[in-house]
Amino acid sequence: MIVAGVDIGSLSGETVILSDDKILSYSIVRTGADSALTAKKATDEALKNADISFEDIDYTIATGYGRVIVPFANENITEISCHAKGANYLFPTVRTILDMGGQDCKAIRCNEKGKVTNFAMNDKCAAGTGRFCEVMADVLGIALEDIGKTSLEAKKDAMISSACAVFAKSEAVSLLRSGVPKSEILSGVHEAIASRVFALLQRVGIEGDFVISGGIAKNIGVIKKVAEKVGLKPLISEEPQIVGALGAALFAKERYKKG
Amino acid sequence: MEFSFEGLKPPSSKPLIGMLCSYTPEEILYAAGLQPVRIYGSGKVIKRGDAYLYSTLCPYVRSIFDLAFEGHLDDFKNMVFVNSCDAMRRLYDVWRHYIKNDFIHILDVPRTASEDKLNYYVQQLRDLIRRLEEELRVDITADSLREAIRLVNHTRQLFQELFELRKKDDSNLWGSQIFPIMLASMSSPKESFNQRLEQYIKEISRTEPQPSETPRPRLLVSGSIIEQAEFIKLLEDSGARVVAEDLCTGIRSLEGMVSEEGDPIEAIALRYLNRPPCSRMKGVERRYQSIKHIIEEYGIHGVVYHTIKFCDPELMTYPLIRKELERENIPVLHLEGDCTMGSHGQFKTRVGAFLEMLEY
Repeated sequence: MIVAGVDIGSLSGETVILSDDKILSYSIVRTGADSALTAKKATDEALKNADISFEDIDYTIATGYGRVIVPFANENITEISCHAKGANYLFPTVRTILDMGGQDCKAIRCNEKGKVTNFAMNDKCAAGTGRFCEVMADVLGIALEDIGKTSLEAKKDAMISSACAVFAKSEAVSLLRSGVPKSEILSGVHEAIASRVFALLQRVGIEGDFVISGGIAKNIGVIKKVAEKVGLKPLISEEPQIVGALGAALFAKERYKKG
Repeated sequence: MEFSFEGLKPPSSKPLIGMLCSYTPEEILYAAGLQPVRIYGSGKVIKRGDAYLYSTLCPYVRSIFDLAFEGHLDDFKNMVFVNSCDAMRRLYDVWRHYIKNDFIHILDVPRTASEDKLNYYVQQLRDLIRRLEEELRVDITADSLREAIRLVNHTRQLFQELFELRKKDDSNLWGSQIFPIMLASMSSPKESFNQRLEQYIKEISRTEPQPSETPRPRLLVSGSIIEQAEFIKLLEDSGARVVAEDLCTGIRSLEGMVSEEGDPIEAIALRYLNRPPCSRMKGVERRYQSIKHIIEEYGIHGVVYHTIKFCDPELMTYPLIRKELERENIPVLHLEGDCTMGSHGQFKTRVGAFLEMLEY
């Protein structure tokens, strides 16, 4: 049995292909304006990596913000359930998940089966999201993948008083103009993000084990700050960006078996 | 089976009187020969209203003022306000200043039903009656009050029958179908509305309930005011069945009869202070008990708690209610809206995930 999970987020799209319980292949592509096209691109790439054809897939579940516009999916399930499912597969002891995505953040609680028991999402606000990190990297002229590492060089945090992406951007610009090192600004930005997501986590309550998924899990600067606040060492998979798509694929397997 | 809303417009023969709160005693307004109409917001982005009321005030209130300011409420020569909450009092303040009316009144509704408050409220109702009589040159007699009580009670009686049908496990009534009927009940002439509802109930009780394709979780929507049936539809399009609405545009305003015996004014006061409370009333315990009662009666699997941005009473009540619900293991989802459809896209993911986590 071969199944696929497709996660169409606001900034990136991922496809995971499972053969029974094994991850056959995956792909990560940037989301364009057309969600259906992104889904196709991501899936084609994953198929290529697995060296199989579209006809080999028995069942597909779509998730993420663009889940309803994946034309070839059999069903769709929200990314909240999928992240819990995916995290539970990777770390069966997980009880709390922080998903830090492109345009939103979610704190999710789940039981031993990976079923969601409670969750909280950020409101209409980009603070603490991938988009926020992108904006900051752009302001400071540092590649997105380097901001985590750079921030670790800071001796202290620059004071970023606002977690609002728009305000924080202008704060970062003025700090930069007044000669504050980039590493300190980034460290301050990461502190602001961590405070924000910590508040979100507190809304659902934190119980170990604790997993961070989503693209920001690749930012070592943010992870360090979040870990300090939470007081638990976060578990992060090798590729945290595909946890949602993996969850969708696991649901696809269950639904296909049920018929 | 469709409910026909056609021709439920208020007759031109009767002067209209606008009301904004479900604590307004419609009986007195009917007895005065007026046509009470509950006014709903526009659901649109607020334009000029924001220049007169600060933007961190209840969007329902701001939307109403915007409508009035733009001339959309010019047919309402008469208005009754209630000191429902601080935002509503601010609305009364600006309204009095900028909008021309023949008759404008604010009713001071107490927040508890103790004996002294009841006496006070009776006095408030007598003051309203005196002002209506003097300024609109009408007679409000014990007989006309009793007749109005019977009329409004009849509406409540009919809704009770409808609610009994919704309580059944195999009910195939949709919330998105019932909700507009409740909205209409508060803004249509009761005489013709009652006939329409009576007919509707007869027809739906005649049709055999068909078992629904797949079982759906039964939801209670709790909150202050929701004016858009689209919100209920969003929940049902996501896979739920909305069976009860603890809203001021829902069942809590339609429950509790006015006694047809004894002094009619006292009977009215008793009913309004004792009906299922909203968050403006004192004591969360009473509100929680009424929510818990609904959960048991209607077989609820999950609660969607909807608050309006900047609604202090509701936002203060919510965490306390949530705590109680969690203690009883009843899942609750909090959604915050601004009386427009702007947040509906965001709601979809939250609602979808909530329904996926429910056990039913």
